Amino acid sequence: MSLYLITVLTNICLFSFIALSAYLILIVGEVSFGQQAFFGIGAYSLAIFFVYFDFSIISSIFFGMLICFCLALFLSLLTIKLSGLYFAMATLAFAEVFRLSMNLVRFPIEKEGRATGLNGPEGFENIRWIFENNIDPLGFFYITLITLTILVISLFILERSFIMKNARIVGKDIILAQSLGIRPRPYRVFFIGTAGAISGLGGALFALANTYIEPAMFGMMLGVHSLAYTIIGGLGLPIGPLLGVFIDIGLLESIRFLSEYRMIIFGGLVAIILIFYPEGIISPRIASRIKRLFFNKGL
Amino acid sequence: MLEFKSVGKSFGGINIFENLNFQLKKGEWVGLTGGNGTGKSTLINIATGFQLPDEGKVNLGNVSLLGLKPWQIARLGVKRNFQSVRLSESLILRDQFFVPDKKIFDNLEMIQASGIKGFLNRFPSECPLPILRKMEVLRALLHSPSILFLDEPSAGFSQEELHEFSQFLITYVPSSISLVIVEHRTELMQLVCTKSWGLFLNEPLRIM
Repeated sequence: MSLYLITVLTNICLFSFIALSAYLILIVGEVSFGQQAFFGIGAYSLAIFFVYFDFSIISSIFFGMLICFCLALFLSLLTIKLSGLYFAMATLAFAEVFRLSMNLVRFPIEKEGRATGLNGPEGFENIRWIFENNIDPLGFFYITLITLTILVISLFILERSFIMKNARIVGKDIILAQSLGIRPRPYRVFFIGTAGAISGLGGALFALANTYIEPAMFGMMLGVHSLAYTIIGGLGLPIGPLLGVFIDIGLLESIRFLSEYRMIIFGGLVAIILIFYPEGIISPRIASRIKRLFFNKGL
Repeated sequence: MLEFKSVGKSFGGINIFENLNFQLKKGEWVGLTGGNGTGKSTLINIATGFQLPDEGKVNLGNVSLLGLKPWQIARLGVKRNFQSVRLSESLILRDQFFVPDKKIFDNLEMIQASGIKGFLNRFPSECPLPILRKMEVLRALLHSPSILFLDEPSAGFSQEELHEFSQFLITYVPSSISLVIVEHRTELMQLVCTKSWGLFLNEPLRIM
């Protein structure tokens, strides 16, 4: 594989994490414009634990995810009375607060003769884990791919459990959910928290892959794309958002020769996809059709 | 036993009811009639926690239902269906009971008798309306209620379907369940209910 192809595939895997986090939140019926913040918090936490405190890579990632989970829980409790447009605005505000404060925080240090550490808009340089461990781009691609596969398999297992079924009723028809005795709030809070952790995991891997992060990487467009991935891919199965990322990044890369015109083509194609598949390519209805074909259960 | 004590409710200055009193005993099957705007659906909404009364008390046994959330009341066994069919267009019917599969298989005979078995693998858009209404009733029954409110379960049924449905209710709804059937037409409640209540504007509940 060429280096270019490996980089594109790695990016597809990395952005799949943020797409899956947007997916989980859309399932409980909310729209978050703030998943880029958790992607960024995951990336920054990893960098801080790994560079400043010399944590091992696994514990840096773990603590990054834990921080994202707790912050997302906190955010979901703060916004417990908000829904729809107001929830979207609150999450966007949260993400911007994170991005802008990262522009202000400066605490540069020198490590093994190299400048590193938090440095405002200039970013956090020299997160050198992949160099220290001689991991080539292909090797890192496999690491992200395996992590993503584990995540997707766990989501498929979750999909078959009552948790996901109930969460989908809460997202789709909260009145029905309540009349069946389902308490909506824990689902909402737990899903928003988990989505934060998943986004943070993606961000941590992103920081390792790039070796350099800056606040501008976690701007609003990343959040908008994370929603676009999921809306193109559909909410039916966890594989949907992945398909969305593949189409989005794959398409943008394959028409790179059109330079600035490619956004026009891309926007047009997304519109066409949504005309033919208004609920995304793997919509819940299509997921049910697949289920009907293959799992009859004798009913 | 569900008890309403001098319950009052008004919307925008219009009194739907004031001083509404009744007791629904265990195993009682009651038909509730009344014209448009007399508060039939409001009564269900108050009993199931979706609306709060302006005054009065609502008790289930010794427990006050006021201030409890709808899901808490549902967990206490007070269940309902909805006048507008609440089924998801993206799920086939068998995925919309929201009970473990085992429960569906245990109650297969009841599902068969209701006449919806042939539709279990279809989407709501592929089923006629009476099937969807029966589906809603079945869903509520599978959630093992102790008190069940049915809001217009037979709307749109033909005469024949209505008789079948009443037979179905008599056979499969356990006699320990208290049932309240809200209807415009009185045929169904005449067939299954032992008691009927009438709601009239600005009048106390008439027990008939």
